[in-house]
Amino acid sequence: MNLSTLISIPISILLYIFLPPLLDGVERKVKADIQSRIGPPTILQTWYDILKLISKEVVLSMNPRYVVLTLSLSLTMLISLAVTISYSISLLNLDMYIVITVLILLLAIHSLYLTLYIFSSNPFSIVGTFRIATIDILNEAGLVAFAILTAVSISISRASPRDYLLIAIALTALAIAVYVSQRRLPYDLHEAEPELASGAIIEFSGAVLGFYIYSHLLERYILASIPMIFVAYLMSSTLYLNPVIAMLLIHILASSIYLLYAVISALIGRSRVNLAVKTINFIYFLAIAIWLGVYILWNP
Amino acid sequence: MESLSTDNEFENLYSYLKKISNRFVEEEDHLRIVVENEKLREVAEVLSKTEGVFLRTIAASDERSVNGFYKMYYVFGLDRIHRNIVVEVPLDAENPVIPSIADIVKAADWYEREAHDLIGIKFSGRILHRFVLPDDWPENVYPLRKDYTVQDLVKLYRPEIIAKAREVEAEAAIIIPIGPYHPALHEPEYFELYVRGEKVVGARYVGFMVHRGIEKLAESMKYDQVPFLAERICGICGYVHSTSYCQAVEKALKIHVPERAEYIRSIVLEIERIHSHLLWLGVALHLLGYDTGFMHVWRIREQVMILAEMLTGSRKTYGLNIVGGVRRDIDRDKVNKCVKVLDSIAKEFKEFVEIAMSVPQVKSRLRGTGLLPRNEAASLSLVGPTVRGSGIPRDVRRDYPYAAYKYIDFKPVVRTECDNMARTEVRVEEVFQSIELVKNFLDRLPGGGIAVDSWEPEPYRFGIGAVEAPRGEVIHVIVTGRYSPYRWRVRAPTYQNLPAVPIMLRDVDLADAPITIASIDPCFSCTDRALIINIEKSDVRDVPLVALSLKGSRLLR
Repeated sequence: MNLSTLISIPISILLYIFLPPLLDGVERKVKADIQSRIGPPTILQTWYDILKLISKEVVLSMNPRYVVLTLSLSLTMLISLAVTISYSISLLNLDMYIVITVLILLLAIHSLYLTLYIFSSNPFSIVGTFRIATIDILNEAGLVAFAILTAVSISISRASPRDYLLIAIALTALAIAVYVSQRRLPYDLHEAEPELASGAIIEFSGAVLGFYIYSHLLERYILASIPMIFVAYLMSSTLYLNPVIAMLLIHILASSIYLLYAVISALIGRSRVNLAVKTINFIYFLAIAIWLGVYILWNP
Repeated sequence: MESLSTDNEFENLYSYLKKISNRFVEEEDHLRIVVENEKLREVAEVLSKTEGVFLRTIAASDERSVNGFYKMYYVFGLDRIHRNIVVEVPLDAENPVIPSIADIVKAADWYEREAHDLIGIKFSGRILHRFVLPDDWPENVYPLRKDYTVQDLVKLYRPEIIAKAREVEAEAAIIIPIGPYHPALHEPEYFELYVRGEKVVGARYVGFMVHRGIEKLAESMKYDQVPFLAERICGICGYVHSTSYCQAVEKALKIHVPERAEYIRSIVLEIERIHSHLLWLGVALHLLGYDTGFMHVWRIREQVMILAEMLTGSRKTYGLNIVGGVRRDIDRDKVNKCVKVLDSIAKEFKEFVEIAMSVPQVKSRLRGTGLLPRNEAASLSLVGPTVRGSGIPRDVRRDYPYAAYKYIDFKPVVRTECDNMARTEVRVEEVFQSIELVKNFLDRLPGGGIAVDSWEPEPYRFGIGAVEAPRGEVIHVIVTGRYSPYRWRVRAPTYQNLPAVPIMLRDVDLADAPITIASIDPCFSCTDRALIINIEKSDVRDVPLVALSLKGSRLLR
């Protein structure tokens, strides 16, 4: 491991830890601009909100064991994920074991969130929990499938136009799966319709809410950077980048994708669970069919 | 105006009514017939079976001090020929019992329950329980009877609040009457949704969380004070209520409002419709998760509010109406500014609608949801965009022309799809229509005065005033008194439309329940007051919420 790699790993980890609330602050300003509003006074506002929430007293309306355990576990796993990805992008190494580890950690984090929702003291939040469970089960199958498909597309690539097209199809589908995983509009169904049911988060306040928001934003950013692992690998094989520059470039790209997602979510409305299932199914099956069609019918 | 006797369809009905009662009065806009108690059901049966007859409102009145009995007024509208049939039924002063017609005329259900609750009318054929009054209201106290003044009622009921405060051992409690509401709701309302999975299989509505007793209050106010009270019925479209009240008094007392005042009223009414529809559209888009649309439509609405302030002196179009005219004129400079702003709103709104209505989630969640079949809409005598979205072209502006609407041709916006999208499209289309109407009125604004010089009240005259509010028909019925209204009956459109909500909610997805409820543009009571209770002194004081809010803001500084 050379000096550049040694430097890039801790920098990347630090970026993972500090960037997400900052990006959320930028997202809020961007959304405000789209909506003809002023928005928060500074892009640091989300950081200020989280710090203020964390400094407030802890009030728990549900069994503390489910909150503290699941939140702390998911936060630890998210940081491990940040470390793993930083390690991977700094080494410019796309090992299949790393891909699988990242995916397993992600699925485990989502399961922990579901546990957190299921044990909510709000009996009506079960509606939101079932909605998000439905979307998660469907989407995570897509997320795993498209991550593997992207890895496979890269590994079989011989730099032909067909292979680049296969990579592009898989990466686009992966970017969509990542978007859905981020629980943005139109798929933010776990906390939808607060007039009727809402979700578990409505019961959180103070420090618990602060930690939840932080871990949720961290997860969003980690998710946004997943397609970048593949981009990093592709770049490493063609441009021979310095690890520090490559890592910084990847964070810039991940931040850009994050903000692109923010803009998209500002332009659409909320779906309904049955409609969402239909849409996601359609998009994923279409992506797989196109990929297979190109692979089988186009012989380079 | 078309004569009743020239319309063959209603000729038979007209002859029948004259035959069944030899006591009738024919006025410009209505035929009043006095019917015996026993014949009411037969009359209701005939009216309900006649195509194109809708129940507009029912008013119960305590007229014992005038003629020795209670009286029920049933106002049926013959929309097509712009006439009302007012069926009057006198009731015994000792035992006011009348047969229920709720099984014949579905729309009569709430009116009967309210008359039972507030004035003590008994309806044979149905058992009625508390509807408007709170559960702890004293037995056998009927607030709209003339036995009680407002002050009597305040003394009779408020001590309960102190007892409750003592129960919770509050030394000096501030009680905000919240009722069964959820922090996420905008107004006090209670819906019980029966859900199987994500499907709503049934629904129940409980309302009247904040009944302010304004009808009673008006009986102790002077004629010219009541418009200011009437406007406070609604925080969004208050002007329709003051106009409706003034028109009822003007009709009863045969006051001829100057034409210029009629135009000014119509201009402000249409401006109110534009801002209300834009407000609704914003809320609807917010409920569909499309907040960008919500923000932009409210940005466009802001120009309308500024326009309203320029014309009336108030963003909320309050304080303009008086009986016999209006208080402020519109000069040439204002006319020009109005036209300029309206053109800009039309252009921006057109661009906005094209974008918002093409958002996939907005389209897919409005289309095919919240179905309200045409026959159900007709049987409940629904009003406004709710009924027009189900293919029935009911609109007071065309059916019972008032103010300046009688000088123009008007065609209501109608959609036949009966779903949430249809009701949305009606409102969107009406915004453009209202802009054109205002420009038309401004263009044709006649000269002359804006109010009658003077008028004299005459007791025990009957008048109906109706206005097409943004949510549908507002109808005020008045029986005049010497210095104040003797009986003032207000019926807002939400009162008529709410019974349709359970029908619309049947089989919708839970996620679409909020937009379906919102699709009638419900307006519950909006102006709650907080009560400060001093247990030591047994003192109860009203404090406007704004005062509490300012106090809170000062504490933060």
